[in-house]
Amino acid sequence: MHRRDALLGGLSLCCSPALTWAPNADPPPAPLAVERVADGIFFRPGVDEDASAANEGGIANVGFVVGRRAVAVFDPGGSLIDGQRLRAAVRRTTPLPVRYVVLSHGHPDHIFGAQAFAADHAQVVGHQRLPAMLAARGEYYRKRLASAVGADRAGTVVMPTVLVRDRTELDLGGRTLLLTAHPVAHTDNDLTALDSQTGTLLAGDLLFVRRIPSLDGSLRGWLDVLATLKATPARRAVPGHGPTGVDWPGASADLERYLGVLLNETRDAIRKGIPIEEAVDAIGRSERGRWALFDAYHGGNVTHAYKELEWE
Amino acid sequence: MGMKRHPRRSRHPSWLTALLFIVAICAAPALALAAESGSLPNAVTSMSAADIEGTAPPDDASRIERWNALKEAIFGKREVMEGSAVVQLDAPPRALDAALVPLTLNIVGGKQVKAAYVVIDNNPSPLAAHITFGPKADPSTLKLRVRVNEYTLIHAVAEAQDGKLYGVSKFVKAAGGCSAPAGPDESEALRDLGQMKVRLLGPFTPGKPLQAQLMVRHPNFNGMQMNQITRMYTPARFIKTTEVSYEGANVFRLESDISMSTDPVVTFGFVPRNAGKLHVRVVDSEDKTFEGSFDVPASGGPSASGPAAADAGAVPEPADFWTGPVNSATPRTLTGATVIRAPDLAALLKTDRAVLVDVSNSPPRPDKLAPQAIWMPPPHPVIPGSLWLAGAGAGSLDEAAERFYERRLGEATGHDLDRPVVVYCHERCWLSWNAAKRAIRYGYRRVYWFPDGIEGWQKAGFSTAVAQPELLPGQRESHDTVQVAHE
Repeated sequence: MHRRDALLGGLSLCCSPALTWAPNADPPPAPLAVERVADGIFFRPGVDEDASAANEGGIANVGFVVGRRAVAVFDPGGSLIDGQRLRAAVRRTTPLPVRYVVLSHGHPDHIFGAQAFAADHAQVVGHQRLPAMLAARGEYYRKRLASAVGADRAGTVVMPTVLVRDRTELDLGGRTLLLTAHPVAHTDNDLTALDSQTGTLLAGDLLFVRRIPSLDGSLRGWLDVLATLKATPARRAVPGHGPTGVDWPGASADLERYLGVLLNETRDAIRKGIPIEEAVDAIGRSERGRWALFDAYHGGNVTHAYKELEWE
Repeated sequence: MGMKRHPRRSRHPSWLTALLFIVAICAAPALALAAESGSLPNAVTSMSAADIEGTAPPDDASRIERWNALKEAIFGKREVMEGSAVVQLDAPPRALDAALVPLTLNIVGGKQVKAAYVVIDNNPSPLAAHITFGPKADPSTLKLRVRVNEYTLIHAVAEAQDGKLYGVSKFVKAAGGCSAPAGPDESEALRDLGQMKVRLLGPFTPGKPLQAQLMVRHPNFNGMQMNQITRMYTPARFIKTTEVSYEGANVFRLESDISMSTDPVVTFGFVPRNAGKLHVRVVDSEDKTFEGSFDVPASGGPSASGPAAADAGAVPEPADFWTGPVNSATPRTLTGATVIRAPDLAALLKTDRAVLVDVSNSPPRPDKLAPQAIWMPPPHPVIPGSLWLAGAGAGSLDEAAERFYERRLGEATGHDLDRPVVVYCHERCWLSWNAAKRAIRYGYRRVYWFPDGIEGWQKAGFSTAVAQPELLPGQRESHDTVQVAHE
């Protein structure tokens, strides 16, 4: 970890209660079925659903990278139980310690498994703006998740102990993960990891494949960040949702097209004076049928885009 | 909000607790009245499990009970009649974004209406809006954007000229609009506070009703999100009143509170007899007033054939240099200069040999400081490559200072009046506005004003360097030896 670029947050004190982990007498949960994406990189594909008791919140791609001395988890799971199963998958794969738990951003389907790794005393790594988002929304997310998967399986919000402002490297022994903190895009706290050894980009939710993207940051910002990411020297990427391993940058084409349609058609609607309540039904219809869960999330994306672009 | 009902029955129904809670933090007048008068029933004895989750159906007894209590709190003993022949309410059955639920009120059937109320029953501060129409109003269509905290009935009540009340309702499925903030952090949200836009939504025809859209930059913090690091709530700060008049006559007055969305947008109708000015006056809960004036028809905008953007800032450009407070809201424009934002500036710097000029003041050494005291202001961040000409943005410059600034610009640009010159200081800082205006007067043809300043540059994620000031003649020396720390 290059301390020069990372702010060691003064957060460890305030957050230690969340890390206290009660040892459980029950048998350990069954491990997640993870796929080998590249040498030493393992991910569980999430299902294209909303969080529910049946899927245990396991709707995002979550996984880990194994070095020669240590393991980094890249998104610890969508719930405590999802995280416990991911941890079991790590233990089945390698005896090496989990030294880092990286949170790609603050959305609940990526972070609520963090509590499952408390016993590893790992550094919890996030974007410098992640604490603010968790502070503002964490409790709300926890309640919603608890009502979907059950309070005892939801987990609690775990605050990052290491904040990334720009870039930082995680040394896993024989391989390093280059973490990059991005400007506002999918959210205002997106973090990606590049494994140069295998040319694999862990894209988090800056890359959606198959499942409709959800916009919670800035539409223009996301397009900008995507353009930067496409220049990343990687052959393959692990999206936050979709198949665990995809061609890079080829697999960004659908996302880029969707965001482009959203940008152009929303701008057009605003210019023509089409009000927001009508715009949500008029914009992006050509994308319907191309994405899982389109009807559930597209209208919210249009609302977000409209709100952003009407001030241009 | 999230006053979640305890599994065991608490002494008061949860909404009453929520009411008291919100009264305590926001002092919403109408509801304070209700709570004090004790008119709210104390026991709603049987609530279904669905209601505990806020998902009871629209005709659930608890919803009827709550509306009855709210009605009494807001309207007293006055009867609210079934009103679908007078007023219609459009709302999405399921909100796409609970923090931004668009509502449309239509007045139908030709009834003369003097006021309207919007009540979001299950929000902790249910009276979302009270609109009083003035003589210049066309009340036929009014649109608002609101927050919805849980599954709720939304009531619209129209008050006719004769004082009779007509109510309708819609059931909206939405959750979390109050407790899940969508916006950026507090400081960022306050940056453009009070910026306004008015857009005319149809052609201007004298004497005919015209729809217009008013947009106001305001976070409308509702005081309901706890920061789990500080264990503090972001203090509530919201728009209390919005008054719009046309040529001095009232169009409408809107009283609102925390149920309005961030960056409120109101669409309203008015009847302009002649070309004139729409005046907007917004007051928030900290009694800060924001005002704007907008031409009708919009000057310089598109012709009457399409919607016209009367896009003017709340702050007009002064005719000459600004001599008022340095750190206050600035205009959105500078005649003769191009206003530039961080991403475009970064692009400009890559492609063009632009000259960057920071005109921030350099903190002066206090007079009374002991001579031996070490005076060492912290390192001053600038956009890399900038000149720091402290003092060039003052409201007035003496001749020596004026000559110095002009000479330094000349040297930096190689006396090329077509070289781009970018002038900045801090956000909400008039110094750069003045200094950019001076550069235009010196004849520079490509002057860029970067109003977001070094803060905007940093927020956009760009790197900075540390600079030493060049002081204009007459400026006091402010820096002793400063150890330059690399940021």
